[in-house]
Amino acid sequence: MADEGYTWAEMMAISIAHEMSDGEFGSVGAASHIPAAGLRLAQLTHAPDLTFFCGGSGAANPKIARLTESSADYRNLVTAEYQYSLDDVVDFETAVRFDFAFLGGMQIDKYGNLNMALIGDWAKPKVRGPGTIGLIFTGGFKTSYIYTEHHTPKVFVDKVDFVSGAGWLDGGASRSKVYRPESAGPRRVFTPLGVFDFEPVTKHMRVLKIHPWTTVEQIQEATGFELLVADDVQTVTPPTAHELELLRTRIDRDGVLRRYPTVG
Amino acid sequence: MSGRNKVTTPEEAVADIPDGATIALGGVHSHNSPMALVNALIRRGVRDLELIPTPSGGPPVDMLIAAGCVRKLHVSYVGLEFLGLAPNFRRAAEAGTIEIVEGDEAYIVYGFRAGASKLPFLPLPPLYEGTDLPKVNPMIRTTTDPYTGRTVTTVPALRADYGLFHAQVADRKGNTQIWGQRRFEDVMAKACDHVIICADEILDEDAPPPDPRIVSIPGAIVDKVAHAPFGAHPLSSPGHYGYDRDQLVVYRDLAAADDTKTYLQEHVYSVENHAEYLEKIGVTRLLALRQTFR
Repeated sequence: MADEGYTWAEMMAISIAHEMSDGEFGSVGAASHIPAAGLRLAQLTHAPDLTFFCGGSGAANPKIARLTESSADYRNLVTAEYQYSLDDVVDFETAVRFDFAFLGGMQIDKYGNLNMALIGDWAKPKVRGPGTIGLIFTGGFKTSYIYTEHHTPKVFVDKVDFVSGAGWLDGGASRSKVYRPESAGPRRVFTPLGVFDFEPVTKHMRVLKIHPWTTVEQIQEATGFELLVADDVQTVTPPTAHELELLRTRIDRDGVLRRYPTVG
Repeated sequence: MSGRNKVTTPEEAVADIPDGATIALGGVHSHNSPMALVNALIRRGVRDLELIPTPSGGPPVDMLIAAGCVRKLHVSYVGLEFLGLAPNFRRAAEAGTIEIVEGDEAYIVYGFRAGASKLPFLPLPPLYEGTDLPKVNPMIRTTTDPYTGRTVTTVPALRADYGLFHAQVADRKGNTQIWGQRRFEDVMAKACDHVIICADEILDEDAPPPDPRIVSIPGAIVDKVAHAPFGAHPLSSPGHYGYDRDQLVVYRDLAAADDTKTYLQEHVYSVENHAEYLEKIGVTRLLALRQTFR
């Protein structure tokens, strides 16, 4: 299997799977095929009691073997355990019932604040984004995972132009002054280049694990602010044959993740 | 005595919607939007709409903006999901040609929940605090919780003059089955003065009645049922057909090139009605989209 190589999207899904804990209850949003694949892989390996809501489909724990490019695809629903409503989603989001959510942004800053609304000034935006959707619920998730397919200095900025979803706000203890104590800021950031966390005191984004085809220096160059680097930063082990087999036969039979560039 | 028959055509169903109306629009991303009704509205040239889509608005929102139908838009998410940004929404927002209410999922869902019960507003725990939304949306406000004395953030009720929703099946009385997605159209429908359903299939009068557990909107609050087979095309209609990815890509590419008029000319203006639209798309293409699981 390793002879065939793997794509960075497959690696990203595997890195996500490794960080998931059994028994947790979370959600993914739109255009979330990489996190959804990661969550399915975790369920099929070390986390059989992980539960997730799959975006706009209404599907709790979809079991479709053909990963969908739209998380709202009906095929997720007809393979699910429960059909949730949008009311369910906002109830759980508001009541701090989700252990985690996967969230993205057109801008992500050093404290994990997210912007999906616009670049520039609200009254006269340079780039109008799609909108805030569920990002204010970063104040209602127990924690969140940030993911992006685009690790560039334009995405990872020193300060977001518009706060759609609060991360650790201005760092340090600033977040705890605003939100309920059971709702913490983001725990991890997943990108094509690696896995990041937030330094416990300053809440500044930090390199935790790097993917096999890159280096800390290359990651820093792709980031618009100075990254911290964990003392024990590790290079992630390439996918195992077993992981790739599960991904390609049980989760993503159509090869949605294999359309991405091969990296190893 | 068979009672009133609410079944009509998509064109007739939207014929009375006046310029300036507030419209609640169903559908999530590339799924379950009443495209036959949207096309009919665009063809009519309705103007100055205040549009409140579900929290996940997609191609029909972008098309209505391109056609010049929209004056004011409540935004939670307007995009093309896996096909990227919504080009016409983006251009209109950047040029300031439409008024934007900067909302989000909570604003729309709690707003419609309040509207459905005609509550004045709903109070929320700390969620908007720390974000920039209250700075640009003056309708996100605060008040004092009379029970605890604490400050709470409030969102206003949302109501619409007309709700337009796609359904897989409806009967003559308007009892409506919406399959798939997130069962929010039923809440939105309760927050609308008039409800218009765009249904792929009309249940035959003599057919056995459906399991009432799959009927999601009661006929009592439905005004009209537009019979529109493949009425969500090029979006999906869960359980009936998938989305037409090729046509969505054509739309995205033309819209991104600021040539949406070519798309609208081909698919909306050059046909008289939904039946002609379907003829233009063609049987081969439509049948290839069919789904056989329910």
